[in-house]
Amino acid sequence: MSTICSSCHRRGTSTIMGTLIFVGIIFTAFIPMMLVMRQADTLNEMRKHELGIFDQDRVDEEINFYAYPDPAPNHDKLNLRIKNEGSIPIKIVKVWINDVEYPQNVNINSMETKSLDPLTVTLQALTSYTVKVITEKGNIFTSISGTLYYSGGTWHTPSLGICVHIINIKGKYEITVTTETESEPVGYYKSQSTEWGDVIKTFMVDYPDPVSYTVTIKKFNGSNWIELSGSPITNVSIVWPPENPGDDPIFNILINGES
Amino acid sequence: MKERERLKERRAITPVVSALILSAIVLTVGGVLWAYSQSAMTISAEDYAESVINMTATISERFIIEHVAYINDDPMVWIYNYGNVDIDVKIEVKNNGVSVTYPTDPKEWIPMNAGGFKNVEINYPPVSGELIIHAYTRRGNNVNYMFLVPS
Repeated sequence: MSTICSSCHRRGTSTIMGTLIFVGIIFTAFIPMMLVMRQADTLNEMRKHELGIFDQDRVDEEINFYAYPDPAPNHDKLNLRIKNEGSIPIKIVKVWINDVEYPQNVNINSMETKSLDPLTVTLQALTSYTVKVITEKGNIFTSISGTLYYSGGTWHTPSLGICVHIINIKGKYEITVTTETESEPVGYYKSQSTEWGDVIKTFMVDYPDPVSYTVTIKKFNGSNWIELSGSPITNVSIVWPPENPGDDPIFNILINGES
Repeated sequence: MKERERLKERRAITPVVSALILSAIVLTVGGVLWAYSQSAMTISAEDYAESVINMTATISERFIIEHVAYINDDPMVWIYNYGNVDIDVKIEVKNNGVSVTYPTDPKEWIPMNAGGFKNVEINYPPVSGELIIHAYTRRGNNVNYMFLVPS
């Protein structure tokens, strides 16, 4: 009896050792491997999350900028007035004027407007100058004032305009743009038939401030043209070249057609 | 009777030896298995981590062709790496079926640091019309740019 028990104990030693080795393998090889893999996955997920935020920030970048020349005699200087209209700060890293690059390092906070130092360009007659801005996040923006043109010793800046946006469901409209200096309207629009959806019409005008314009907007109601609430809009003037943040070559008017 | 008892005591040696042999085998095989498992799993973990890191770097690449100009009858391409990882780039210029890759050596790439700019002049036969600029990285990301050659 004692022999059998002794034999049992001895056989158990190998089993215990085998089990210990198995447990050892689990703890010293398998679990560390799983931890390393898990850590790599976690880092990957973190990076993907960061990239998602980065890409979204890039999409959210929004700037409006004007490029306009210095007045004579500094004809060869171009100014850039940049407004960050996005919700995150933007860093300008480069400006391109045609094929010439101008490295920059300018931070602009959300809703802030900044003017860059004047940029010197090589003037060539009958040449267009396209200006674009590169941001740190890789966005490229072009000047909303369009391409500048140099000819006959002077710069030609973009056209000025008045943009009327009528919030409309259904209706016929008449828009008239007048100025004191001219007897005839400088801009006129009349719906040919009932219009569905918003009506957006831009009228090009010739003169900036101090010339001012009056915009009259009427809606056809049964048999009469009735002025919309808020019309006429008087003293519409365009400050150009811009003097303050928000000065725009296009004056925007938003009006409710259902009023 | 005494002889029988003596023989009984002798028989007890065999289980001890067998237990020792079994233990030795278990230790040897277990040790080999342990060493093999550890090295195999270390290699697996390293391979996996490396592949994940490479994949992360691949999805982290961000670059644009910011500008193309035609200077001295050759296209000049400006690239901006706005991502957080260094990249190696090649540029392919195509027009009417004629394709030129720069650098021409398949093993050679243009290195670009994170946040860096690079401009590359590409020797290309004079053309008119559209040039398709295709920039691609060693990790397989690419961007395209269409450039109208000035007449």
